[in-house]
Amino acid sequence: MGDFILHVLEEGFLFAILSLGVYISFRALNFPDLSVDGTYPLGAAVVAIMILKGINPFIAMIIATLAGGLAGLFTGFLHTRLKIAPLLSGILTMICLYSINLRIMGRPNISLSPYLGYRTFITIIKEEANSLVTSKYLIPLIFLGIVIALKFLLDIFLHTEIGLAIRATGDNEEMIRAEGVNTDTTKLIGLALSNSLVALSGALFAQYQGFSDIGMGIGMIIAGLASVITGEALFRGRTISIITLEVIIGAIVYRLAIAVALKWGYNFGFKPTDLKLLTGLLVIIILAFPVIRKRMKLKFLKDIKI
Amino acid sequence: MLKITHLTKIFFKGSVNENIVLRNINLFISPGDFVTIIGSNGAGKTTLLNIISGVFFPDQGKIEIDGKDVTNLPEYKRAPFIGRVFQNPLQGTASSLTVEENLAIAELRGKRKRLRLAVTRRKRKEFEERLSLLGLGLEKRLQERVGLLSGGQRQALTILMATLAKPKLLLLDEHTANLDPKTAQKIIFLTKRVISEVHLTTLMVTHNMEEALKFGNRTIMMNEGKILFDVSGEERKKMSVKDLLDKFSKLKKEKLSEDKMLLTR
Repeated sequence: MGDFILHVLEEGFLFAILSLGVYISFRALNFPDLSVDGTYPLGAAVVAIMILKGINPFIAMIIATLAGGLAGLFTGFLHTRLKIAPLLSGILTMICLYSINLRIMGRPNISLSPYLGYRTFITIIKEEANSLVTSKYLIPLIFLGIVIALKFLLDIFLHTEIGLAIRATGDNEEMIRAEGVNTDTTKLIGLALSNSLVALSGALFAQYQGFSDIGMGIGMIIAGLASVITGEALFRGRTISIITLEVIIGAIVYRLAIAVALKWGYNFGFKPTDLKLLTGLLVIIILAFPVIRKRMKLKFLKDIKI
Repeated sequence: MLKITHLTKIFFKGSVNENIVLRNINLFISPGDFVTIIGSNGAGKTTLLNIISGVFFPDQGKIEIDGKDVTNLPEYKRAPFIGRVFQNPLQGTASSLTVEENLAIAELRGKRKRLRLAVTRRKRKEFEERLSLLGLGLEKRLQERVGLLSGGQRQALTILMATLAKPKLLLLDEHTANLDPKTAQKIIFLTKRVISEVHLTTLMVTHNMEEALKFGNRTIMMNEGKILFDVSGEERKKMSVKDLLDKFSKLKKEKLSEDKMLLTR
């Protein structure tokens, strides 16, 4: 049971990085960016092929993050310069990335198993730490550290002049243009940042699970969105630092729900292949919550606001 | 200060819905002028302000601010010269941002945004002082989200924001129309005070004829995309709302008879 929780936390922390990215595009920038389904495996693909070639995994992760940012810029370019609608811009990037990811990896999946002798950042950390401590808490603690660090950096960024302009773009585009901000630029910065985080999440996850797969991005946007809205439903924070914390907790709760479904769901005829269906249904229920509440006039649910 | 020559704007050009909103407008406004603009719905008042601020580009004509040709400058590049307050109190502020964050954005209008904290202690103090001058108690609510403020408070904040970065030109588009009479009164006096404090060149669109004569030093009546008349100085001082309406119907009738003559000729 303890291992189960640890496992959920490990996945939840990595997943939270993606969710923070989704928060930037969907909420802060109010841009429904579907590129995520392509940039998540992009991060994994870049890191996998570089580790395969023997490049230092930390350098590989930086390159993977930058690649995600570049893909985000492409989505932004489609929208701001070519005037393609936000949803379509994201879908176009996603579909282009499918082929690009296959090109990068050269095949549909790459194994990074330490038994094959590949050095991921996880094997490096374990090697380094071996002489000091050997604890199963080491990896989740390091993941937690990464998430907390990213959260604080993001909090600070969203309070800078540029961060404010990005948030105002998502809130009231007319106003911020009248205040002399080029909203094309703020959208480009926001999308680049969002997809960098998503790609970093993919890069970390590939190393954590020991492989990169072309299909690992399918439905990630919905999963990320599920985390964001789960967090928002559980709390009702209004300041940035509370909201980003919500998103992280939302990601962990979401992973927990998925893990529970996978572990005990077979009693109810649930199969691992039903996972995406489950995620989809979860998001539908949460999104439909206000309507359901209104229809059923469930008084005790009135206080819960989404 | 503001020079508009041969300005024409056509919406849906070339389609069945083609609509000539502004017809060959010529307007020169001196520094420090406070001009009120009146006219019925569809006269082109809001379009005129939108073209001055760069929301739309004109089909013909030229706009100069302080001798600088801004006709083809995008909206965000004109922002340093222009402060705006809109009819809808929700339009001028970002509701999910706090009062101080909105002010920080306004203070940076037209300046390069950098990667440094937007609200510093020094700025917070400055905002506090500015807000206390409004007399609405907003200085105690710096860190509240603007969405929690009332329409009047938001409009007062927007006026402060519009003037914070010292623009050359202030554009007010019926900025009291959506407020209750009492709040509207407060806001209009606040506007007057702010404008006279900094001798700001101002264009104010209003539906209220009394207001149009009471405030400012010049009044323009627009109709069907044209400037019907333009009064200032002694003539305006003596004018009552009735005179204004008389003048309007007289000019309108003449115009109508002219049109009739054209048709019958």
